[in-house]
Amino acid sequence: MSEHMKDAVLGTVLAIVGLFALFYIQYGPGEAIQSSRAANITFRSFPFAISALLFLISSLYVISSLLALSRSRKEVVEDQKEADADIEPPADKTAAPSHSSLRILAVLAMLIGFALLLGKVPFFLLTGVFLFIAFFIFGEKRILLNALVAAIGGGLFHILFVSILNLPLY
Amino acid sequence: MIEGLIGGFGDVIQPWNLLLLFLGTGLGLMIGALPGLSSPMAIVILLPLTYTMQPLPALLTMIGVYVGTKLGGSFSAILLRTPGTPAGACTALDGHPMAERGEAGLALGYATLASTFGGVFGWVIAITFIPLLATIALQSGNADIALVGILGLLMVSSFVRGSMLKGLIGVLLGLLISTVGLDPVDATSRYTFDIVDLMSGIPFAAALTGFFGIAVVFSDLKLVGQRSEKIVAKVNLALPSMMDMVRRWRPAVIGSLFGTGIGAVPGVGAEGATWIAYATVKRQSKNPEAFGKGEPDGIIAPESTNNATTGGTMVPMLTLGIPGDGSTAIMLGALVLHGIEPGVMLFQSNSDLVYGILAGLLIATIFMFLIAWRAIRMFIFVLQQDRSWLFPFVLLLATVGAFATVNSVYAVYIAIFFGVVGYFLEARGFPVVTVVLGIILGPIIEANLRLALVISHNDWTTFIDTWPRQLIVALIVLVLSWEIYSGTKDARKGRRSKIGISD
Repeated sequence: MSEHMKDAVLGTVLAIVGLFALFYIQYGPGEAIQSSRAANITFRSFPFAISALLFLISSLYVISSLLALSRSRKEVVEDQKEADADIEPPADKTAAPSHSSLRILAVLAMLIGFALLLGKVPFFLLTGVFLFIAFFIFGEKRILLNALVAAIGGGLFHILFVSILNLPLY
Repeated sequence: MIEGLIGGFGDVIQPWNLLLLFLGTGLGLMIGALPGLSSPMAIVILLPLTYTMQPLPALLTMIGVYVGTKLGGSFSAILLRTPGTPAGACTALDGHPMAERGEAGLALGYATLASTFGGVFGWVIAITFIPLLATIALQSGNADIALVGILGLLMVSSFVRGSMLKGLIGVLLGLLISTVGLDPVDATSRYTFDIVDLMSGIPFAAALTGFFGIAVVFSDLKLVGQRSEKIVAKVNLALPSMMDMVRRWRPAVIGSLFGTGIGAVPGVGAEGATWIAYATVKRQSKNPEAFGKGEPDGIIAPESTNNATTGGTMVPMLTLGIPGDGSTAIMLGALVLHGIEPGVMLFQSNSDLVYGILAGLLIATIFMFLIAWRAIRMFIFVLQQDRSWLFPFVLLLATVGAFATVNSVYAVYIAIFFGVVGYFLEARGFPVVTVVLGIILGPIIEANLRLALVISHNDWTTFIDTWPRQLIVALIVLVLSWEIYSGTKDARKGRRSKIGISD
């Protein structure tokens, strides 16, 4: 996917968020009960204005991105014509997900797993296992060293957050 | 003011406070030296550790980190040509060529002295203007505060890197996020979707840990496994002679002026200011051709600028409750977490704290000089280490820090969500600092806007009925008009960055 297309996709998502927020605040639940009834702006007014602006500006961003995409495609076509078909076709950018993308997904899964188990598994054990797997994902292959650092790290986290800061974790 | 400052210094020199400030500054130097790790990230992961502290020690730790990272970023810029922080990139232009010709220690010495000078300069400006502006700010009404907030957000979206369109979208997204929960005037629920946890709004600190902790790790995962080239030569910091520094007063003063002035504009930060100061000093130099080849003035200008911003950003933060950059945004969040409301009343209701912060700023600058001078080799060792050992700890601190904000796993999910959102926004060039500023200023703007209208019986002319309000409205119109004009002009010329397209 080209950079301009990525811009357009993100802009579309943001425009949809703005549009949804706009409709939800206008037609969704909620009733003002206090002083601002006397005022001509209510609890809906501020988010209404913000979401409307977000929708408008994100749409503008999408349009600009698509225009730039079309312009860049035209430039590529013209360049190719000028070079008399002597140029190699542009490289296919839809390659397999890069190593760092897989790492991001792995880290994300690990974070969600950590959140699901927080408070259900002893904190020392949870942080130790989290660190051990994270070291491995980040490329540290020395298992014994990883386990040692993870155990020490888990212990330190337990002392700091459970014993000293008294967070409700066990 | 003098009495207040003396009291502030008295508070800061308490052994525990002094120790925290010292440790914070050392940590800041270390974090700054590591490419990819930033001051906001370091401050965010400190949040859970400071919850149980009193407000002043908590803020002093953060101030130390904030000041330390400014200089730390130049270590890797000079030695490896890889700036530890974005603002350090300019220092690499002349710092690295000096290192290549065997003068790394001297280049580090120039950077350290210039940073110290800039920090002290910014501090002097801050202590001069903050009490003055705070007195003026105290006389402001709801309409003034709302207008200043709107102007601040507009300036943020105009001056951040990238385009105004991206800045505006970021600010609007932040404002929209800030409307989740009970509204500040009527206590009516908005965007809560019948989820009880959302009634009290998005936990601000959890969102911050997502944006500045988890998102940064995601963005920097590409750095994992890449070890910096080894610095084989033994490097010791060599301070230039006093006469040499006196002779080079001009770049130091120009840099400090730019740093303090631009630092006081919300959202601009040190990154833009260093390049402007560098270009100015180069233009005024008798030997502009020497710049980029190891000219000491090319190190002094950006480094003094960089640290002078610490004083500049304190001005809007402590007088108006408007943060100058990501780090000060988190510090404002920390104030809120400690039950202190930032804004125009801060100076009146918590003057001890404000003077303590200001005193801490100066002492942190002195600590920064001393630590860099005596322990430079430790930071050189650290900056060559791989991130694979560090990132798991950062992730854990961020998630546990989010949990600690409301003692609920719900905050961890919020942090993860905003981590993913922040990653995608940063990847497309949307500065997340705009979103954060929107979240902070949203409730302040909305509450004051509505209260101003209630007080004036729905009379909108209340926003232009005094000369300061007319001035602020004129500035808002000016900033908006200028951006529309320059954006259209650039779009016509095909300069894409100004119309919100990736370069």
